[in-house]
Amino acid sequence: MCVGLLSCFTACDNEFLDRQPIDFLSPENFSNERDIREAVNGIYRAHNDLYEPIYLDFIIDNGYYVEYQLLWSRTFNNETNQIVSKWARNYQIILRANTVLHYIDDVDMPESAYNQHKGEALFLRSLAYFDLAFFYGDVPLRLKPESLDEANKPLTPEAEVVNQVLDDLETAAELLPESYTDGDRGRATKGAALALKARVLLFNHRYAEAAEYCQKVRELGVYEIYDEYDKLFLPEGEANNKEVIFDMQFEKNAQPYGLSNQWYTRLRSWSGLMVGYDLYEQYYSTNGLSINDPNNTLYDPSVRSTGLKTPSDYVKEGGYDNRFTNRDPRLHYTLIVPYSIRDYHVETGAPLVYYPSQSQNANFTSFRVRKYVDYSDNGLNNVSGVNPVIIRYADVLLMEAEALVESGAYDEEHVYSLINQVRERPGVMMPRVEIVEGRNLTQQELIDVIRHERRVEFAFEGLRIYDVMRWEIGEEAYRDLRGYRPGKLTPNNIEYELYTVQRRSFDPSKGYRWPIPKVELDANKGITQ
Amino acid sequence: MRRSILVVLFLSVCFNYAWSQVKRISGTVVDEEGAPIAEVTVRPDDGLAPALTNAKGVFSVSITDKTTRLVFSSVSYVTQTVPIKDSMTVNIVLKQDVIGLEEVVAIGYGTQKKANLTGAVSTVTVDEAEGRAVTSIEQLLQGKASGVGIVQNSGRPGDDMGEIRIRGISSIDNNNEPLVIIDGVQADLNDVNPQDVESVSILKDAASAAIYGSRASAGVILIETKKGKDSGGKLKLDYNGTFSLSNPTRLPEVVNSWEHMEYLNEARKNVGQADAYTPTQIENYRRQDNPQYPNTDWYDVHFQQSAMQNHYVGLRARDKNYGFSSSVSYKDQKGVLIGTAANRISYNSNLWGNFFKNKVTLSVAANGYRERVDELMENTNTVMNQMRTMWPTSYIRSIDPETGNPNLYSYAGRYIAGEELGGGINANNTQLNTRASVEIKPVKGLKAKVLVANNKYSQAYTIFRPEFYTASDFMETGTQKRESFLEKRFGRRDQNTYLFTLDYALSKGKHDMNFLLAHEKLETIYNRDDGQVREMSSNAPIFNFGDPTRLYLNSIAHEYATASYFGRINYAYANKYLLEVNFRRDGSSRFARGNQWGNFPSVSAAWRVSEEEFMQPYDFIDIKIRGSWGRLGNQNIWTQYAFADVMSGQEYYAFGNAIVPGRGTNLLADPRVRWETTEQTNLGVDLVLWNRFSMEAELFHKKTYDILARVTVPPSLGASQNPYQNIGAMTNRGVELNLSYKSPRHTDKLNYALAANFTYIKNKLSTLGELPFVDHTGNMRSVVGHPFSSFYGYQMDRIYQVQDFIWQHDSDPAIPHDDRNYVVKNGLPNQSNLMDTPAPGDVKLVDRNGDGQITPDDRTLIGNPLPKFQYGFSADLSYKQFNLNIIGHGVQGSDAYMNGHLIGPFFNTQGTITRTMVNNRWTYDNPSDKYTRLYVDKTRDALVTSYNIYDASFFRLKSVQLGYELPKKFVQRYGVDRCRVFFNAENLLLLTSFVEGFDPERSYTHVTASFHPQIASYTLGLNLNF
Repeated sequence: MCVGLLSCFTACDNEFLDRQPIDFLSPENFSNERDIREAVNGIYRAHNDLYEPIYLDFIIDNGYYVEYQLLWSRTFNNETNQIVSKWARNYQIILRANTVLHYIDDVDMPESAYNQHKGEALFLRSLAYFDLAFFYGDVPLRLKPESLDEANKPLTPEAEVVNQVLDDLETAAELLPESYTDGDRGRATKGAALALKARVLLFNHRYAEAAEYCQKVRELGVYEIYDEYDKLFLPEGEANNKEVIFDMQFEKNAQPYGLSNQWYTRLRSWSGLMVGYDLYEQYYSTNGLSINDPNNTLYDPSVRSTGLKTPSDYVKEGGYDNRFTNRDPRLHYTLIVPYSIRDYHVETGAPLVYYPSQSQNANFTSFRVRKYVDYSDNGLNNVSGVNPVIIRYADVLLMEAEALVESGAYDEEHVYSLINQVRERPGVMMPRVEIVEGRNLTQQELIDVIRHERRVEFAFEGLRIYDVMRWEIGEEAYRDLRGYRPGKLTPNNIEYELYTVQRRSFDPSKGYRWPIPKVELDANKGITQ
Repeated sequence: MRRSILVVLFLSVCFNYAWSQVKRISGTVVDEEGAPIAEVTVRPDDGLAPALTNAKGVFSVSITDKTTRLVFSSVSYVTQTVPIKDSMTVNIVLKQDVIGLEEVVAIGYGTQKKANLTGAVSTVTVDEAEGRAVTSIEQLLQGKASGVGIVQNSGRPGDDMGEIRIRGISSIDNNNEPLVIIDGVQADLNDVNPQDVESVSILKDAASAAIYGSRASAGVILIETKKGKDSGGKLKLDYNGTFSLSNPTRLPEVVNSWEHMEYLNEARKNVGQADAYTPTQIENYRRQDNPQYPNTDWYDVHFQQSAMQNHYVGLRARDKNYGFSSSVSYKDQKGVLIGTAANRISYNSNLWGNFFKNKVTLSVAANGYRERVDELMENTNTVMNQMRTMWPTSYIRSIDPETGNPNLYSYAGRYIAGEELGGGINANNTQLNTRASVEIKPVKGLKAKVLVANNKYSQAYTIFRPEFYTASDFMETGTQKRESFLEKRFGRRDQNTYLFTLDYALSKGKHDMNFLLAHEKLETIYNRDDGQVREMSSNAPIFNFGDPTRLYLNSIAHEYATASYFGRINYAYANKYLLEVNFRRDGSSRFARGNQWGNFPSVSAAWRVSEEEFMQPYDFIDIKIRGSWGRLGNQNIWTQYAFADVMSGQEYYAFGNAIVPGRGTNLLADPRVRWETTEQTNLGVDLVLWNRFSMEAELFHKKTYDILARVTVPPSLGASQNPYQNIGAMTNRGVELNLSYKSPRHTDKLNYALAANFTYIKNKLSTLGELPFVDHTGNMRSVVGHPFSSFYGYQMDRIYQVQDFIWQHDSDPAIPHDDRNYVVKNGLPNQSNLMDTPAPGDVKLVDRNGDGQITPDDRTLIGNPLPKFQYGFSADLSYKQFNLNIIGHGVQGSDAYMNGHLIGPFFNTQGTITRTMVNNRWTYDNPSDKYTRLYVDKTRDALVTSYNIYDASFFRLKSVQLGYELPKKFVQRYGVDRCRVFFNAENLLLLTSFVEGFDPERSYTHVTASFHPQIASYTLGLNLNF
């Protein structure tokens, strides 16, 4: 009997020990379009990042935040958080895209769906490889999902990676549709692939081709400048926005799904996210002249003599003092200046004014960020639905202008018209370039105009670091952090004392590139240095 | 057929004895004080039937002329062998078995007399449990056995279990938790009430543990619960009750609000930043006459003295053919941290009976508990962490200037708010462990047993945060709404055990043999479902009140199983030479087919030297030499599917404002992954002198190879989690020593028992395959050739002083310190790559490679948390009605890396500082060579240096217990057998040089200071036996 019992036990062993995963899936089981579609959604998810690309503006000359101090002061090394996480995040996008590209041919689906999903995967993979090559140079190039056996992978030269990106974007542009129905808003389009290709070309100094691809985007006829600069960055502007070409999708109140944007509620509630005076002074007066220009008669730095008045109009008017009035409207859409509204009371809705000298205040420049801050969510923490923009039409226009001028073969009128489209957005309405700067500018003068326009137009969109790196203007960009001393900005005795908040300098020998993360070097024996 | 064999056997026995002349021998057996002893077995040495003494100690037994000796044995007395001379009467005095060599101890799937053990087994007595207000078994075991390191998790109710490491750490990031077997079934230490524990055996070497094969590489703890002593069927009732008061052992002392402001200004000035506060603001706080300018000690606000009560009722009876034991206990404990509490009802019931002329034994048992554990509205580690960032300048609550709301809490006061408004975390845990077994003895010596057990655990876990408003985020004033939130998690775990054993004992002449053959199957099925809602319309933890557009659901499920075949042979020759051979074959569902099965053999032997003839003249010595070798496995890793790539189905995304499902690969598995294996060799000596002094010494070498670890794979593969791979090997070598001295028990004299134990372990990582090291979280690194998981960072040389620097105008001393631009003198290493502008009062780091620059390449191993040396002692003294019991334990040579809030000044720009930091800090007037100046700087905070390595050695007086037993004559008048009152103090004394305000007793891998302190408790109690 016992022996019988024992042999029965034995027979059941294999079955007893066969336990398969219950709460997760495997790509080997992809069988229909839905599986592929969900795997594509997963690539977008990997691309969605709480910090990218916005934090990049806090490591150069636009802002300062203590969390990114190592990058800001350039005391980083190959173990610094952001340097490791950018690398890992991009390769996660790449693995997921490679998984889709590898398995999609095994699954039957309508041709339109096949084209779209393949195009999306190629586009997102290109976005990741472009970012990697730009920041790290030579990187391992993995074009299919690879297992632990292929852990050791040598570096591929940057030029080869860039060529792969350009080829893939070309294919993606052919496969992707120009637009989607509302339910699919946020997916990659033909325009996104073309615009990204223009960016890759421009950032790699291939100017003529870059201009050509910008033109292709324009000729699609899909995109146009959005009227209101502030709403361009808010959920209420999402639906009918024809300026955004590609952005990350976040949802209000979707925190358990990981889809609420906590970063932007931080911009709103954490005063430690400081804006440098460097950026502030870039915003011209409405006459198009710099506040440092002695000919600028419109700029009045005087302090108003009466006490504070009710703050209801401060956002539009530009703060308490004359220095903040008659400025490029983008100043107030982008920054919170002293004594302007920084928030609204959660219960009463009463506006709350930004007093830089407040106790427990961690802001030492007296400037904060307003761009992307959504005031409509009643003060709740960490539940914003704001979508960070990756690429928008204004960028395409300014890229084309820059590419044309840099290529040396350009028509000044055409270049002006491209820049003016951005400046003459109805919500901004800065004077046309030719009115302020005149005509027949030198190539360098034109480049300066374009570079300035990029800086004020795209502040806190994460583009500044790319521009600094490709223009190689480190000495100019990595200067001391300056601001108005908050202690002097009390309601009763206001004095705008410009001071140095934190020192830094630029050591060109360190170069612009980021080091390959140590964790990669330790584990990937294919990289020899 | 079988009957005829029996007949032949019977006849042959009769025939055999027919030749011998049968006669009877009689006598009396008394103890050392002359009192008769009943139930002593008197066994002739030639296999004749034994006899028992009666209540007067009188026996009468048949012998033949072949009988040369009589063996007298009884539990708790030393076995005595008496040669038969001509006399027909033998009167003897039996000595108390003070040391307990005759005791039967639990071993894997069986029992063994302690004297016959061949492996390294520690048996721990927990007799004093009835007089200690302990809440977990770990607390009872602490300091009791060599080779068993135990640290208590924390003093929070519900988190007062311990981390147990038997013979050190053998695995990299897997379970180093020992296997726990309660009454033969795999369980959790928490499953049983400490007062229900009858005995604890700890199997330390591979040979003892090998019978548990793949689950036993970290050692095994065997617990037998109380089954009742033979009471002749009479009902016994026990009651134990305690009442305790507790306080935290150590809490940091934080500076006052105005001091905080002054020192923050100082810290900012030190790194070239502008003042944060004006003198007027500081003065406002210093005056302390306006609630707007408070001075809040957040530790005072959050901590309190707490009370606990504990009641235990046990009911037992036992006869020759049946027995039962039932108990119920109730514990109600408030925490020292507000909002924390635990209350628990546990029960244990065993019932057994013999049938069919004792050939069949049926046994059924059930034990379980129902427990509720409360915490504040975030888990306690988070609360402790956040408490360290709370500034004394914050109020608890104030009036909202905008709305006049008088209950506007500060951000720092949010836990108080949550507590006052009914929020909190509570876990309702229910555990039910049922088992049944049938044991059949068809023929003499053979036992067949089938055991079926089910362990059901369920947890209902609720997090509820009510809606309220706070005045500030941590950096800024302004009103913030804290929306209400409810999460419920329902987890269920079912663990099934099926065990079949065949046991055959054979005794022939001087040969004793025992065979065990068994098959075992285990499976665990786990399910958990979570739901979340927010913005509740009513302040109650009900899903229905949540915002219906913001629901979130999540499920977790997994299963795993093991199947095993195993056997054991014990052989003893003349009780002198002992041999044990084990073999186990285990299959685990965690690995892919082909890698599922592992084989685990072991062998052990012992020589009882004192049984040899040549030792007869030295009968005061009992000595045994043991040796063992064995192989154990470990498959107890943090995943149930080590072989499978993980593609998560939770990679949601949103298109057109609608959330859609997504998937993505998060882990790439190594399909070749297999068992981790530990090989252990053990040498031991057991020595007993004069039946009073005992020593057990062990020397062991434990080697773990094919270590399962989640080693970093290149991030460029694109998976965010690291898979398990078999990598590397490590060794633990050690020495263990247990010493004890016990006086024989006399009713009217001082009785005492003293015990001490020492453990020394040396750990070394011998290889990691291709890798020179692996990194772990918390700045830890394991380097080949060094102890496992050391702290990795910069070595501090000393503190930079003024004379290490030059400044303006050829270092003009007339320039005030604050105006100097300090530059490190030539020849001193440049560390400005790591910290902004080094200056006097900063740490000076060691330039290990001598290139003049401090770079990450200069880092090295700066400390190791694994203790080198652990020790414990206990003393038990009794005199007449009084009893005193003392237990202490200590850890030596353990480093702790402590950094973070309240350790670094104004850490992460959010923290505050402690009084200790202020008193010792470097200043121009106090140029300390040990402490740095104050600063507020992330680059300095981020540096991992030996400045933050602290010696976590400590000695702790774990328990002191003083009891008084009321005179028997007095209590028996009221029908009570025994009545005892006692006072007990736990964690009475701590000797350490650890960071002030923080307890050194913590998990060795805990590197933060966000840690709930241990508690010291004072208890009054009562034991009653009927």
